[in-house]
Amino acid sequence: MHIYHIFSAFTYALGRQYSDKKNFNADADFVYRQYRNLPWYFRVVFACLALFLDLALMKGLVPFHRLQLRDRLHKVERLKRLNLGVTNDFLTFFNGLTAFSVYSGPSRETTG
Amino acid sequence: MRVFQDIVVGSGPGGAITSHFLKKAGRDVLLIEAGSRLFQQDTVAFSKDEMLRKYWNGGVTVTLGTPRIPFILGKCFGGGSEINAGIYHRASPQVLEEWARRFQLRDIDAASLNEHYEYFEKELTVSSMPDSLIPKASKVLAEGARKLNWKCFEVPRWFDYDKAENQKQTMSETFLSRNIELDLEMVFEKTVRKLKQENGIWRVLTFEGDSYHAENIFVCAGAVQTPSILMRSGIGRNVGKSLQLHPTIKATALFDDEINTEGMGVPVHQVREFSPAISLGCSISSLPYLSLALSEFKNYPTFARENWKRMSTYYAMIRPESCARIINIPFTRDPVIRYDLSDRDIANLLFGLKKLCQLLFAAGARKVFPSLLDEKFILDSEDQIESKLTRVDRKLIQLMSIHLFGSCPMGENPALCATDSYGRINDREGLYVNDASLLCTSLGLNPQGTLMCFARRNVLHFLETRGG
Repeated sequence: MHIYHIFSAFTYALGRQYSDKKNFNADADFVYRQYRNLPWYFRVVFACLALFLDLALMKGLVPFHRLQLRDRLHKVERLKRLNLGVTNDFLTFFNGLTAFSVYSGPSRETTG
Repeated sequence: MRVFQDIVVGSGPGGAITSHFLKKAGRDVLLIEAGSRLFQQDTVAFSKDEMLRKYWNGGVTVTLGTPRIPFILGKCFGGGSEINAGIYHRASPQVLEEWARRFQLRDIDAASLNEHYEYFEKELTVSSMPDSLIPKASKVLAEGARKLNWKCFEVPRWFDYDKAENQKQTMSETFLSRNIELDLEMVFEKTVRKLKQENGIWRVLTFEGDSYHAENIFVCAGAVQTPSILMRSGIGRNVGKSLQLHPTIKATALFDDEINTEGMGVPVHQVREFSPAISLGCSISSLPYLSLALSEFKNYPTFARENWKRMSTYYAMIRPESCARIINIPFTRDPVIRYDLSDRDIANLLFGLKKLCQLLFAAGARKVFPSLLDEKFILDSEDQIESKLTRVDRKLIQLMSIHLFGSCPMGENPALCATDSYGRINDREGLYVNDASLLCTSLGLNPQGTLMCFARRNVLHFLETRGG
């Protein structure tokens, strides 16, 4: 499983609060590229957290990134309410970049 | 093996100016840039593209400490000059006097620096925005200051307002374009790893595996990468231990009237009532940035989209007493920056935030969203400022910084300085620093004007004394 799928799952779940559009692929790409831009020591922390949360937010035996969007939204809301320092940082990173991306015009590079 | 006379590392304001004057003097020069060969028109200002293609680490990296501070550095042709707001200041006489006294910095009398400042003011068309172009978001700040009887100025910028497009006189538009005309040799997307001196010749090694040779090296890679390169090269005395930045806290205000427009850019007024300790001013306020500012207030997810024309973001920036430390990690190009703000700096930031909120309500704001990680801090009236913003846990403060400097201070004081008064690394023949790293202490203002002034001063001194 590629870490991109977990990041995409979080971006879709967080993006819903900003827009009712169906497709957040461009936003997921932006968030993932920004993750790739991080210094490696932050990337390692984020990757470990993403893998951990993918399992910790399982429903039954289905990991977070394969849940239905409605279930993902529910899980993210619960995670926010837990208010844990390290997961808050994780969500702040995703939430800020997702909000920024959703309201930005299409990326010149990704649209050619 | 080709040996250049000079290699300049970095094409930001320091490197662009250094390489320009060296090349103009007829020397054999190579410019090495870590970023891509992009010009101003290749990305939209303050956009996703710009973040991805022109910012170091995409603009998403932070200092370690509490609170963590995201900081923005350029990684492109022209460096920081390509991504900042183009705001211009001269250093105050008080700051220069402090540099002369504490750092024993020589030859910085007002008359000699004046010549360099005037040169850039002419070359980069430093000018005020025509009144018809000043955004309303800027005018409301001035109006609030007028009501409170606080000092407020329109800040000049290196803009050519006679041009319809590409008004900002960045390095790629000016000195680097002239360097292209002078046939300056340049290589891109090469990040310098280490410098080695062998038999009087400097060897520059990159992370990509290349090596270049020169008699003189000018390290102009910015306030983080310059000390990082020096430390990897075994040069550590007073290097990377005194990085300065301007911690900045923001507040987003909602007004009754429309004050924001598409493509507004960065408004131009600054309130200097509390300077040099604290400056208040206007920030980029496009819809994506407003959404980012409100993204932590979970009950306001679409508020910016619905009200952006009546909203704008403002800042309070402090001149801190704290310094950051750059820590290299073996085998990696990204150093860690450790920055612990003192209690006094935190108190100053909160004082600045309160004054900013007072100013915004005086200007007619109906609601103010301070950049604090809890909705309980949202203000609906001026009366709430003292009760809500007096005791704030530092963990909840969201800061950012765009000005980084001072990591290799210049001067003759051996206890504090990494270079001599003209940027030459002590005891290393042919090795110079000529960028924002040299600035001794915080200016409390955008440092680019002063950095350019010293870059020209230092390179002309080099040409007069060693390389003419």
